[in-house]
Amino acid sequence: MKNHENSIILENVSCARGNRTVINNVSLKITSGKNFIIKGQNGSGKSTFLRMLAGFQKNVNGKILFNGESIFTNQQEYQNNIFYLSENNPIKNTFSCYENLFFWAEIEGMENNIQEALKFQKLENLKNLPAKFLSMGQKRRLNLSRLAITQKKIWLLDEPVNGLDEESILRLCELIKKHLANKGIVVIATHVDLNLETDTFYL
Amino acid sequence: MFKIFLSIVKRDLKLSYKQGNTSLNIVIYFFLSVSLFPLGVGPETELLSKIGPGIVWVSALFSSVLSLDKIFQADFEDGSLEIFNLTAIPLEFLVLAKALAYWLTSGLLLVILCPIFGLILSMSSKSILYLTITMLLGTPTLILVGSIGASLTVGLKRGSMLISLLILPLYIPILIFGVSAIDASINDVSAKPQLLLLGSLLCFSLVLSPIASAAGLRINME
Repeated sequence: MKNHENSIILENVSCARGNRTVINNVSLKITSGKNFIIKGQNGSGKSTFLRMLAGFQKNVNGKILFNGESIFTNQQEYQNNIFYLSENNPIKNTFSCYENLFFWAEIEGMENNIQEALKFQKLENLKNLPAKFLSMGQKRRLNLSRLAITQKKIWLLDEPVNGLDEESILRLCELIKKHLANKGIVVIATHVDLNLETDTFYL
Repeated sequence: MFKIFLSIVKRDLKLSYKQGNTSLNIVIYFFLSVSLFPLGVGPETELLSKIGPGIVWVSALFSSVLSLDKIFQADFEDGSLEIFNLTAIPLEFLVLAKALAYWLTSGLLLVILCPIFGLILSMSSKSILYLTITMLLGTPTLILVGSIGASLTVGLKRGSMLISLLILPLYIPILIFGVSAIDASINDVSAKPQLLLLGSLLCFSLVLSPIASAAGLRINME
């Protein structure tokens, strides 16, 4: 990853889901190297905000610029920069932890770092266990282990600490700090106060 | 991009092998529906060999629809599709990869098994040969066309009935050309035009179905 400044700028952005305007006339700047947290009540549009930044929402009014260029101009190229962690875990129950992670690592061309990522998330002893036997927290950790292998610049994390114990949350914060130090962009939708220097936006 | 394409095919084949039930369901359904016809219409060899191609084709058609709703559903529900959307591979190629894996685990099995069903239905060796060729050309088209319906109903819990309603009318040309090629071979007439038409339908669906299916998936991911 190149260590130059990256930024996402929103100018008068509104977004509707169904008939409801969830995000209304928002203008802000998200810069690399600084954690950006979105807070709000249930249904306030935190997930929609992340999905909008990921380019999944089509009915967006206003401008969303990544490094000065609209994210919709060359959407495929922009989306290649994004690591999106949704509320769901893209884990196949019949696959082992290793097989699950190997697939996503293969997609990113980072197969060599799997052992390291499993070790970091304290899952190396469970690597051959089918994912159906993992607890909710362990599945979340397996999903988060993708963070340790990704090279993507923009991390969009939707409730990443759901089901995690304190130790796992600290490990996640460590990963985030490392990414921010490399001038990455991190946007998190969460209810939990993370021990990170943040810009907070309330929806 | 080709590496990602292969990774997806490999993963889906492995998943299908580990879960097993989908391919098995298709084969059992195909076997049951074909073998029930002789019981229904009687064991007359001449009649069976005459209606045999139609029986095998209609059974293959229904078998391929049976679990088409599963082609994207698991990846949609666990968020994998959204992640695929953020990788270097366009959704159109993802659709192709998933359709190929689905064909290898279901359509190809039907192609391999159809000579056995041809024998059950007292078809001649020439008819069985043409049955196999038409199935080889027709089953990928059935799955590619079916993937459009699957992409449109991916967000629905019970989309299989809706898929049938959406895509069965689109299957009619494939059924007509498939059965008519075998009939032509039985009547010692060249089956080349029908086979060429089946081939062109496959080419059309190879190009157009991924585009339509990817659009359907994008709508559902919004």
